[in-house]
Amino acid sequence: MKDWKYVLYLVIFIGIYVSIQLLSPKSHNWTITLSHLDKDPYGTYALHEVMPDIFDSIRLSNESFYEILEVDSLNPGGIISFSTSLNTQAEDTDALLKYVSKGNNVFLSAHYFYGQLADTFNISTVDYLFDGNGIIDQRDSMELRYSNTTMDTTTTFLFRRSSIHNYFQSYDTLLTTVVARNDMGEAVTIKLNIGEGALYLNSTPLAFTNINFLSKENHQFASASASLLDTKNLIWTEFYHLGRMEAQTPLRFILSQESLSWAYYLIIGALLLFMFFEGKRKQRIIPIIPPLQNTSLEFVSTISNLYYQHADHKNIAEKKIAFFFDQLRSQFYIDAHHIAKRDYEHIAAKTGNDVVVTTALFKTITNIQSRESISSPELIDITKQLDQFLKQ
Amino acid sequence: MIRLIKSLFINHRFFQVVIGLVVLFIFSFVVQGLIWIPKILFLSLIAACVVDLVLLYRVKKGMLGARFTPDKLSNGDENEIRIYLENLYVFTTRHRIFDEIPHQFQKRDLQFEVELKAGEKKTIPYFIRPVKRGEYSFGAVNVLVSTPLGLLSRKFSFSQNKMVPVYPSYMQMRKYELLAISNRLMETGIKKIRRIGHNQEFELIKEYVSGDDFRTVNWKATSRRSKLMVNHYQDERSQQVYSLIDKGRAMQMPFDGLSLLDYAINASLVISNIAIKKSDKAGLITFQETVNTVVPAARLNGQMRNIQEALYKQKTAFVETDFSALHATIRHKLNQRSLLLLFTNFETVFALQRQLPYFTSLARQHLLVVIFFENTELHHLLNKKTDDLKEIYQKAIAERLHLEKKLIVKELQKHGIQALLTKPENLTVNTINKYLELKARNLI
Repeated sequence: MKDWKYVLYLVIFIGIYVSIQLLSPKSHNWTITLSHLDKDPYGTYALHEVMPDIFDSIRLSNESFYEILEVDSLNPGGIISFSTSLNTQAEDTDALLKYVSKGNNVFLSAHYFYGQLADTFNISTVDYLFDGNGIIDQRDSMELRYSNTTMDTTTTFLFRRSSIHNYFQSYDTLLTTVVARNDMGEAVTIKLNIGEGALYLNSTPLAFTNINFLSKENHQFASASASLLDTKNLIWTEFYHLGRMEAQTPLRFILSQESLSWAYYLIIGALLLFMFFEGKRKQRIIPIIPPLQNTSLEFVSTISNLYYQHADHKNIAEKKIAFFFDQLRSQFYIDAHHIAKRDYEHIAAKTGNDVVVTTALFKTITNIQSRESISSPELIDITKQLDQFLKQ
Repeated sequence: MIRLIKSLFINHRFFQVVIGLVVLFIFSFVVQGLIWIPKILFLSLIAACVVDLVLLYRVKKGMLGARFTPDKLSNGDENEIRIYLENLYVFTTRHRIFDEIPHQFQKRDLQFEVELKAGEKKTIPYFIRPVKRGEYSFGAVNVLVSTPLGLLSRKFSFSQNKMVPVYPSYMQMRKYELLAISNRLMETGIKKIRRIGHNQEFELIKEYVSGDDFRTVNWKATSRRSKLMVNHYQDERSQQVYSLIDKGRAMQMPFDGLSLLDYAINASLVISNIAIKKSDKAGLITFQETVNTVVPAARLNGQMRNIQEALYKQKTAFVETDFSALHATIRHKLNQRSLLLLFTNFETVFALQRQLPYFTSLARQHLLVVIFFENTELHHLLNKKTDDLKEIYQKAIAERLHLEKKLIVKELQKHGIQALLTKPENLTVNTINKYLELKARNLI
C-alpha cells in the first residue's frame, strides 16, 4: 500500500514536469546547424523544402567530396554544400576539381575556406564585423546584390548585418568572376571557371538559412544562387558542417558484423534479464540495527591519552609496580610491598628468575618509588624489566 | 502470469551459458564461417529454458516445507531451528533456501543449498543465538527450486510470519536444574565445596564409612544394628534467596553480544530455579533509579513461572542506579534473613565506596553477595606486548582497571560483605557455586 503512494507521487511529479515542458513557450535554438532537418532559425529546412521546385533530383549525403565522387563522378550533375568553415583534404580537392573540369557546377558556401582548395585558388575570407578593418557600419541590415551581368543586378536583398558579414578578400582574379557583392562592394559569391565547369564559392551560408530565407524576398537570392547549378543530379552534402551523422563509436563496426552484433545483443539482453531477475527480492528487507558496542577499549585509550598528555611517567610506573606486586601476591603468594620483608633469593626461586636480575629489578623499583619524577626511557626500561620478570 | 514472473528466478548457470555463447560468437568472428554453431547453441539454450520452465511449472505444488521453531527462544544460547523440506517433483531438484529470520539477528546471508531426489524428505537444522529479550518475528522461508537443467528456479514460500518471544535463558535453567535434582552439581565444572561446620537438619541414618564425622555416631541405631551407624544432616531448607538485579548504566556493557544485564537475568533465572529445587525460597528484585519489580520469595509451584515472566518483561533505560531505594525496599519488605545476590558492576573503588553504607547496612541483616564482572575485553590488552610509550600508558591503565576490580573485592571483604568477581560468561556457574558454598557454610 505504501509503495502505491510513492508511485502516485512519482507519476504526479512526472506529469507536472511534462505538462510544464509542453505548455511553456518554445524557445528557439540559435545554434548554426545548417541542417536540412532543422526548423530553427539557422537550419536550412525551408531551402530544402523548395529545392525540388528547381532541381529534378536531389540526393542528400553525409560524405566528403572524395567519397561522393568515387562513386558518382560519371554522372553529370552538381554538388552543393553549406558549412561555417570548409576544410578540404588534398584528395577531396583533387576529386572536386576533376569533377568540375568535366563540366559540372559546384556551389560551396562557407564563412571560411581552408585547406587545399583555399590554397590552390588563394582564397581567403574576412569577417568585417569582428576583424574590424575600420569599416563599422551602424546599420543593422545590409544588402546583397548580384553583380553578374547575366542576372538582375538591380535587386537588392536585405539581411541582418549580424549574420552576413564575410566577404572574399582575395581570390585568383584570372579565373574568377564576381557573382554577388555586399553593400560595401565586396565579393560574397564568386565563380571560378575550371575546365568546362564552374566552381561557385559563397561566403554567406547564413543567407540560406530559414530565418533569412523566409524574410521578404530573400528566397530569390537563394534560388538565384541555386539556379547557377545544373538541375540534374544535385548532391547536397552536409559532411563539411555536420560530419557523418552516424554513430562515431566502435559500435558502428560491431553492429556491422553479424557475429559481433549477436554477441552484443546477447550481452545487452542478458544484462537486462539479470537486472530484472536479480533485482527481485529473494528475502525481505532487514533494517539495520547497530549492535551494542563494548566501549571499554575506547575508554582505556581515552584515559591513557589524558595521562599521556600530562606525561606523568612516575604515576604510570607506580601503577605498573602496584600491578606487579599484585601479580606476585596472587600468582606466587609473595608479599613484596614491604622492603623489610623482601627475600630476593626466595622471590627469585619462586618466580624462576635469576637472583641478580631480581635484586636489580627491586632496586629499580625502590629507586623509582623514592623519586619525585622519572623520564620516559626509565619508564620504558622498568616496563621491560617487569614484563621480562613475569614471563619467566 | 504475474504469479509466474513473481516466482521465477534465473540461475547463474543461465548467465554463464550466455557468456559462453558470447565468447563463441566473438570466436566465430575471428574464424569466419562458423557462426551457425553459436546460433544453434543459442536456439538450444532457448529450448532448454522452455523445457525448464515447463518442468518447473507443470505441477502446482512442487515441494512441501515447514519451519519448526520452539515456542520461545532462550536468550544467549544457541537455539535450534529446523526447516523441513519434501520434494514433490518426479526428478531430483536443487533447493536454495533463504530463511527470513528475525531482523534482530542482522543476518542477511542465511542461505542453505540441498539436493533432493524425487520424493525425498530432508530436515535442515541450524542454530541462532539471540542476545536480546523480546518478540522476534520470523518471515517466510523462501525456497528457490531448480531442475537438473538448472537454468531457472521457481520460488516457494511457506511458514510466513511467526512471532516467537525470546525468554531469559531457560536452556541453562533446565541444564542446571537436572544437575541439581540429581545432586550432581559437583560435577561438570562446578567445583566441590568442602563442607565446613555442621548442618542442623537431620536427613538419614547411614552406616559409618571411614571419613564420616564420628561425632555424629548414632549410638542407639548402632546398638540396634550392631554396626556403626551415623546421623547424616542435610542443608537447611526454606531459606530465602533473592536475586537483586541492577538495571542501571553500569550493566549496559555487552560481552559477546549479550549485555551484562542479560547475563544477570539469565543467572538469576538459573539460581532461582536451583534454590527452589533445593527447597529454598526464591525471590526477585530489580531496580535502577527506583525499585521496579519485587517478586516475594516463595516456594510455590508457580513461583518459577512468576520469576520467568518478570525477568522476560524487564525493560531498562540504563540510567544511574539509586541504591538507597533498593536499601529502603529491602529494609521494609524483607523481614527474614535472606541470601541477597546483588548483580551489579563497579569499575572503581570510589564508585563502590559511595554505595558502601547501604551495603554494610544490608549485610547486617542479610547475607549480601555483591556480584560484579571482570572486563574480559581488557584481557588481550593486558597480555599485549608494549613497545612505545603510548602503548605502555594504555597497558598501565588497563592493568590499573584490572587491579581496581580486585581492590573492590578486598574493600567489600573488609566490610564483611561477600564478593564475587566473575567473567560474564562464567557468571551462572560461579553464582551457583557461591550459593552452594554459602549454604554449606551455613552462613544464611
